Amino acid sequence: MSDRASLPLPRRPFLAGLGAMLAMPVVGAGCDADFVGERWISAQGADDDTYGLVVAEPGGVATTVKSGFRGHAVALHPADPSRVVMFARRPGRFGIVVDLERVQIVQRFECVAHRRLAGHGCFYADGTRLLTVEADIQTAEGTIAVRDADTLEIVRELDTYGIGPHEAALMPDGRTVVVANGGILTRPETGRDKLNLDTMRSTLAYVDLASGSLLAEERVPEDKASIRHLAVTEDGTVVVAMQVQREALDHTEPRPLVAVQRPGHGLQILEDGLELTTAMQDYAAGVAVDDHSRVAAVPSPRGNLVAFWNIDTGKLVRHLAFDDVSGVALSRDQRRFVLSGSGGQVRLVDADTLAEVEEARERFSDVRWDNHMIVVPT
Amino acid sequence: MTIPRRTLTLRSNLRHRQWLGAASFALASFALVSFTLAACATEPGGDGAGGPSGPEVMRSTVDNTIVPDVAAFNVAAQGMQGEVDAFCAAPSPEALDGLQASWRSLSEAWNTVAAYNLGPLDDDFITPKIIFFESMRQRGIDYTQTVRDTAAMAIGGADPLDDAFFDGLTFNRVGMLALEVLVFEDSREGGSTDPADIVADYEEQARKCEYLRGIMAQIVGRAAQLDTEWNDSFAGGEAFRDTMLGTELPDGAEPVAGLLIAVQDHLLYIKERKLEGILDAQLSGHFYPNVAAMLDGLENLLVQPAPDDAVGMLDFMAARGLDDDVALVEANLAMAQTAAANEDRDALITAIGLLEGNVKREIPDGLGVELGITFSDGD
Repeated sequence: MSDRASLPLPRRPFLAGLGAMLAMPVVGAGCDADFVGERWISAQGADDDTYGLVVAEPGGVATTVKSGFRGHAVALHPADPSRVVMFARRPGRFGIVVDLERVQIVQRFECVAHRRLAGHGCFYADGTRLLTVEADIQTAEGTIAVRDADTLEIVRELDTYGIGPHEAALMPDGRTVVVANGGILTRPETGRDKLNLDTMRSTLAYVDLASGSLLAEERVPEDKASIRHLAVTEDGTVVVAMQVQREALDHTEPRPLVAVQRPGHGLQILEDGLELTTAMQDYAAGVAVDDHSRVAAVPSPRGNLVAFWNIDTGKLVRHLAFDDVSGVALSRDQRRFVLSGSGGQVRLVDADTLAEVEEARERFSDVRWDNHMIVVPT
Repeated sequence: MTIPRRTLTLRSNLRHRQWLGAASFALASFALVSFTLAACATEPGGDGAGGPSGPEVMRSTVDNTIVPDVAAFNVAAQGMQGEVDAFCAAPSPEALDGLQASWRSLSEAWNTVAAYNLGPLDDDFITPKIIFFESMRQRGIDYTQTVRDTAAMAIGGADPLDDAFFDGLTFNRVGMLALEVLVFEDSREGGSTDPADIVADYEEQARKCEYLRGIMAQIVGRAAQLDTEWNDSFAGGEAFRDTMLGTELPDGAEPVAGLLIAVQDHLLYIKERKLEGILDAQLSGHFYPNVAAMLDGLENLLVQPAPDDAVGMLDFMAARGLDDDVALVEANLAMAQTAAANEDRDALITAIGLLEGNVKREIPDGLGVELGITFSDGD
């Protein structure tokens, strides 16, 4: 048997002999003056001892606020840019509120006993309420817990009208929440094992915040495509990123991973670039949209690439190699996509030309950027 | 059929043990300071206290295994081209025998190189070079009938079988599979594998040799390109060999991590697409020898049996006191080699699954290499 557990080996010694310079943190490399004034925030870490929320400054130093649990997504308080909430990775129970000025946890919360957090949440536009996406432990039926943004107490609960909810976002009207119901049943006793692949039913649900009623529901043609992530543009266009449950299919034909719903229209699958989805290995990890260029950036860590679609034409416009890329966000000036890879790398891509800004490359040597990144002002 | 284990392996294993002899007396403390020792190591196996450094291992791995394997594939392709010329000049059962033997050699060389699916072989997201050699690699689909139909139509037609024609063939009509079909069966319905029938087929259809030459030339060209890209220049830049000895691959990955992920993916491919799906190389009856060649290549990659001063990843692990993990990898490798020799499909599935796990866990952990976060479904 392996005795690895008894040997606390340091990480990344393999290239140590390349020289002292390479052993130094590579922070500071590629500082871009345009990015002074923003910070990159994400869950990060490799184990219980290192999990936390990382606050990184372009060209600067990354600081991690340890959480004790693996985080997933982070939400910025719209009225208080020093305040962010990190949600536990599915199926976690905890969330933390971090003060970015003091770089410390100022509040913790836990979901009710019979539910688990789904990893995502968002604030009301005025910052008075925090929505946390949660799922029943046994049935995986989804709930949006509407919490007081200050006390984090639940003040209302809304049905997501589906099981296995993951990401949710407010629509521009401020009165509707759109939820990605992944459709997959998991239970605590079987971990992340998927128990209903034969019958899974993934939906994009629009829920009225006032009444809690289901306003609309969309599905994609492929039953085994799980809608997991979404982004909403200023005009109410919703772009979704999916993960195909290949083990439930009896073929290896590529399946689309991205779809768009424009106001007044149905959900349109983006078929263009379908060949690329073979390389993406059925896994789109998230999506961010630049309103100006109307380009959606969709990272695939399994494919080690990020793909860009024009959401109006439905055309695949570019793809870019990036190792284990998952985090994607827009820079504060909305001019660049900020992408993060689990190896600590950050790369910037011009949102108009989709060319990488190579001089702005960064590698935060002690950071393992996890799934999602947000950009916040300093 | 028996596939003997390399005697070099035993020698190499002894070398591991010699290093361990000096280091194992204080295993825990040794492990704690191994980062420093690895960074300061000079002579592999020298004083027994340090062992090889990561860059030394990487240089040895690339220069003593990967680059020579790529060169060997290139040489094997040229060798088979010579056999094609000889056969087409005077088709005979004897010449066919030589031709088939050369395909087997080429196939084994290919199956060794196919594990290095990064850089030159993985040069495009949609149509990477690797699928032009092995079409099944794309999505696990057996394109044998597509190859047969394409060949029959081309050979039976009147269009010139020139460069433009062959350049226009998609990945699922060319490569090792196309060569195998052309060399190991005739073109009649049902495909006879009798050498006399195959020879007669070529004698009756003059264009079949033209077609064979064209498919062969593509392989030769791509094998030469692969060799050039590893040794001279890849994608308009430096030799990929140099990139592998640097700090970062073009996509930002650490080279050793990229290599381990490529090997891991290849083992998964062999297990899930072939052993649990469709066995390839059935016309030639060479599936298991191909897997054996792949496993021997993997052993060379990890152990670095030659030259004497070569150092492998397992050496690095052993020098850090991880003899249990080294033994585990060696045992699983031996199990897989035995299963391949015995053509035991179930045992091979198990052993390759274990090896894949080793490449995912024990080896990167032992090297202190991060392979990245496992972003799971549902995340």
